This record gives sequence, C-alpha cells and structure tokens, in this order.
Amino acid sequence: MDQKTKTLLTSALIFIGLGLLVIFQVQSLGKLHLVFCDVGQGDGMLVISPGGKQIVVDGGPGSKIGDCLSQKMPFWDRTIEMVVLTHPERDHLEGLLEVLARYKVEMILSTGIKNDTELFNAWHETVKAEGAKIYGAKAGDKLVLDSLQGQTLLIDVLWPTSEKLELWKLAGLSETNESSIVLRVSLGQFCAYLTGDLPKELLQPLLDKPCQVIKIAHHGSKTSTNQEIINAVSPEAAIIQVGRNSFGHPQKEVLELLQSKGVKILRNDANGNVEVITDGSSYQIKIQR
Amino acid sequence: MKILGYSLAIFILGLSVALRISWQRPQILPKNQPIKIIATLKNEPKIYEISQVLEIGDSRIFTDLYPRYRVGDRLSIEGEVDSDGKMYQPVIQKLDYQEGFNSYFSALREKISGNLMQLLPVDEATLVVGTVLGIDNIGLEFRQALIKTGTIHVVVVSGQNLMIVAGVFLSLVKYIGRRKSLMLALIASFSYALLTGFEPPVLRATLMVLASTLAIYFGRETLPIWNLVLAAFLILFIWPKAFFEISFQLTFAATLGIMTLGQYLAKISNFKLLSKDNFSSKKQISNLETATRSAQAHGTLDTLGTLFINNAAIAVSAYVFTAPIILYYFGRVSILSPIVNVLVIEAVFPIMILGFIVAFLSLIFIPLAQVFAYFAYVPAFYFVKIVKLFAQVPMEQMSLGKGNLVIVISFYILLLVLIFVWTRKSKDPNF
Repeated sequence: MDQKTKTLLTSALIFIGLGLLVIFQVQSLGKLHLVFCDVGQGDGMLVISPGGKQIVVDGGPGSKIGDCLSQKMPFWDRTIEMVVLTHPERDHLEGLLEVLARYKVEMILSTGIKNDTELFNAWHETVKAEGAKIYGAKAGDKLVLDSLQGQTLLIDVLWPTSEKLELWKLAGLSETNESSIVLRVSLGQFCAYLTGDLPKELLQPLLDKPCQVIKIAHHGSKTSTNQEIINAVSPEAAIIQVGRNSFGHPQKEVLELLQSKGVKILRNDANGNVEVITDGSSYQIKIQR
Repeated sequence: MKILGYSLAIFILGLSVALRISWQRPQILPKNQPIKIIATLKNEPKIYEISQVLEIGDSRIFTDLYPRYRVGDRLSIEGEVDSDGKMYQPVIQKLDYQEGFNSYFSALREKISGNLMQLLPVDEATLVVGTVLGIDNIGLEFRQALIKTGTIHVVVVSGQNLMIVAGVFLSLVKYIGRRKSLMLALIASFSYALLTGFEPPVLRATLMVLASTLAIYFGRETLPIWNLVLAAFLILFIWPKAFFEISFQLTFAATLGIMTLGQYLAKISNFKLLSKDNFSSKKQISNLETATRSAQAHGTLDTLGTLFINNAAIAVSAYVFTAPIILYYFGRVSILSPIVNVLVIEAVFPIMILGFIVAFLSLIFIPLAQVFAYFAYVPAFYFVKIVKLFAQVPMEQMSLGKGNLVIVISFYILLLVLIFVWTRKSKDPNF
C-alpha cells in the first residue's frame, strides 16, 4: 500500500470514527446525570444537565477527577459551566486545580472562605488566571440550569446563610467543614442532597424535604448523619464518597443506621464511580469500577 | 559507503552532545539524616495522581501536587533522604527562578503539554503528550493497562516513535532523493529527541533507531546489523553504565529483533502474496520495503494483508527478542503483547502526526488546534479502548525466570541458532 492510499484510508477511517463517536456520545443527553466520582478519600461530583451543561461540585484530592470527567463528558465539550467549591480543604479542592487546567470554566461558586495553605494559594492564583466569574454562594440562592419537557433543573443553595458568612468574616472560622456549601438538585419529582462535609447538627434543620438520593456528609464519619436526617429525607439511595483512609470512614454506626432504614448504600471505594440518571420521574443507578 | 559516512558523521555529532551531557555528574545527597539543601531544579518534576516528584542530585523528593515547581526554580528543601534516595513531604521554599535555555525550553514543553491537556480527554491527552513530548504523566490505572498489554513503549518515548519520525522523512526518498530525505530524517530525529527532553535514554534510542531505520530503508548498502552494533558500541563507550540499564537493553534487543527475525518473517509471510519478479529483482531495498512497494500492484485485500503481516512481523520479532530481558527483570511477560501491538501499531502513526500538528497549532491559534485535536482523538480513542479492553482479559502473565540469567542466555542462543538455520535454509543473502 503506498503512502497516498494509506493516508486516504486513515483519513476516511478518522472521519467515520469521528461521526460514530459523536452519534454514540450524543445519546447520553436529555437526562440529568449525577456522577459521584471515585476520587479516593474525598468528594468529587459531576452534574450533567439534560441540555448538556456541566457542574463540578468539589474535585477530591489528587487528579483522579480528570479521569471521571473524561469518561462522562462528550469528548468535544471542553467547557464546564460551573465549578462549586463547597469548602477549601484538600480532599475537596485539589482536584479542582486539575479541572481548571483541563477545561474552560465559566463560573466558580464558593463561599469565599479562605484557608491558609499553599494549596489554597495555588487555587487562588489559578482562579485569577482562569478569568472565570466568581459568585459567592449563600442560602436561598436558586440556580436554574435548563429545562427538559417543561421540567426545570433547579439547584438550591441551603447553606451557609448570609448571617453566618458575615460572622465568619468578622470572627473567623474554627472548623472549615462548618462552612461547607449544601445543595439540593431537583428535576421534576426527583431530587438529591449534596451535603459537603457539614456536621449533622447544622445539616439537620436544612434537610426538610424528602429526596430519593442523599450524599452522606463528610465521607460517612461519626459527625455526618443521624436518625433525624435520614427520617426527614427518607432516601432510597445514599452515596458515601470515601476512599482508603485511616480515619475509619465510613463509621460502622452510620452504615448500620442506613441499613436499618432500608437505604441502598453506594460507596466509591467499593463501587467505583456511581452515576444516578433521571428524567425527572424515575431514576436508575449505574456503577462503574 | 556514502550513506555509512553520513550516518557516522551524525553519530559523532550526536555523541559529542551526549558526551557533554554525561559529564554532568549528579550531586550526592547525605542519607538518613536531616538536611537542608538549596538547589536549582534541572529536570522537570514528574507529576503523578497524588504527588509530584522532584529530582535533586541522586535523590527523588516526593511532595504535594501543588504548588507546582518547574525547571529553573531555586528551592530550599528541608527533610531526610532515606537509604533508597527518597525524601517524603519535605518543607520546600521557593527562593528564585533562574532563566536560561533549559528553563525556557522546559516552559515551552509545559505550555504545549498544558494546551494538549485542555484539548483532549485525559487518557488520549496522556497518549499524545507522551508520544509528542515524551512527558510521562500516565495515571496509575492506564499505566497498568499499558504494562499488561505491553504497549507502554508507545506512550513513553521509545524506538518505535523515533522510527516513525525518521520514517516520515525517509519515505520522501522518491520525491526529493536519498541524500535530502536522509538529512531531513536525521534532523527530524534529533529535533524530536530534543523536543522530548534530550535525556540519555532518548538519545541512545535515537542513535540505535537511526542505525536500524537507515538499514531498513537502504538495504545492504548500510550493513544493517553492523550499523546497529556500531551504534551500540559507541553508546556504551559514552555511557558504560547503559549496559546494565533496561531501556538500553530493550531498545537494542527490539531493534536487533526487527532487523533479523522481523525481516525474515516479513519475507517468508509475504512470499505467497508477491510475484516472483519482485524477489528476483536486484533492487537495493529491504524486504519490508519490497513487500510494501510490490503490494501496490495487487488487490486491496492483498495490500491490507501485506500491511498486517509487516506489522505483525515487527511486533512479534520485537516481542520475541525483548521477552527474555523482561522475564529476567520482572519475572513475567505479557502474552497479549504481540496481539495488542499488531492491533494498535497503525494508530500510532496518525496519533503522532496529528499530535505534532495540534501541538504546533496550539501555540498559534487554539480553535484550529481544537479541530485537529478532534481528529487526533479518534485514533487515540481507538488505542486507549483496545489497550483497556485487552487489559481486562483475565489472562495471567507468563511468569518464570526472574533473575535467572541461564534462561536468558539459553533463550538467545536458541533464537540465534534457529535464525541461523532458517536463513541458511532460505539462502537469503540479506542475513
């Protein structure tokens, strides 16, 4: 085969392959996807709206979030519409630097709470260089993403309150986890709570509406959840974002509580990436190791 | 003889550069005691999933992913180096940044690598960055898949990649003539070695691959095995320690395998596909090239068959010759390797060519680079999928002979005897 024929054949195969890949990857649009990425010991989530907009909520430690985004996002889409940093700790923040390095990020949602670490300084510098819009989240904010057959994808910010933010600005904050952003993602009759690392005492009054899915706070630690929270939310599935760790996460008591309530437990360390897919009326869960 | 003269001139040029590099002796850090050192980063940090690794003197320093350090950074480092030459979680303070050719060049590589990572998904970007720039940022899972399928040599700069770069220019022989195509191939190979960091292993592979590539393209004139042995001896003269390095041994074995067993396999396999005239011709070109060219006169199926056979000949011969070395060091060798290599070998060429185009365009106009990145994505996606698919095959790697020199020597003696017998049988004047 001469060079010319080989080049033509290769080009033809590339065009055919490109077409097939686009057709294949377009199929995933039209539904809401909540992907709880296996990022090790930390939180990292990807929300894909029915219209194909992406929101990354936390990035986990290291750079593993990049693999998850690559697997779940169409290859041609190199833009992430919004990144949410729930609170500035390494197990939620580090991977977001990888996200900023690999994608164009249009908007960043955070509390504005600072952390005196080299990692946070690097994040601060990277955000400045990215030129994304920065929005300070506070309870009561409603983010409307897009709609599917009259159903609106809505993200409610439940925590922190503006009063608390003002207080922390004046008096400082002893425990960064307390500033963690809490979100409720809703589409039609489906909803899910994304709870960051907020301690259960602060979380309990916020979760006043039942939802099918809850991300258990703080990797299933003893401060993460209690019976009142599970009763109020009455979830069908609970996702625990946890990797190999020396803290004993998730706590046995938490697992027992969820089991006693008949909640399906999905853990990143055991199940890999956990993906919840919904059209607003029903949902399914896919796991991928 | 002219060709031999040119190649020798280039070897000497390359080796003089290599000599200069080899003069730089690494600083030896004290072990098992608290130390504070001030040093300038000369090598690019290696970036892994959860850490970055800095090379200072003879030691490797493991630190967090951020802040990122770069070549030219003058750092104050406090910690303790263990007996294995590793320092974990030191206190690092950045003092200064020293500009120079090295730091400028590294910044350019970093810029291109950053651009490629923005344009492609993770695994495909890793593949393109690895083949174009020789930067090894492979994630743990993908690395394991590459090792299991015996394809890691594609992602880290290896003889095969260098052969592709040289081959592109050597294939211009019928348009611009031998001398020009040869010169362009040599310039391109050394530019590629430069772009990929000019590390001694890369330079060594460049020299050896040039020796073999020239031989494959120009046939008996350049005395193929003599060229390779000459290159190997010169390399060992400059870097005697290379004799004990796996990368050198593997490159030498693979190249020798392709030039001996590979040529022989290609010839006997193509025999049925080719007309007798082609073999009786006195053309001064190699069997692989003869097979490719003569197949032009045949149907598409025959043509594809020839291509497949040639690829299989290269993959199998490299595999057979490197297997004893891999067994000696790692105690196991991938059975899947030749199959996966045959399946992916044709994708490597477009990945590299489109990768170079994307890398270049990304420095000028990102939207255009993005268009080419979509094209590069297709062969890269195919490569990644094949590797991951075969990595899932629940096939155990063949496991025996770790550290057993007798097995290695017996294997090579058997191999050489078999080749000698076969070639005597076929009375092939090329051997």
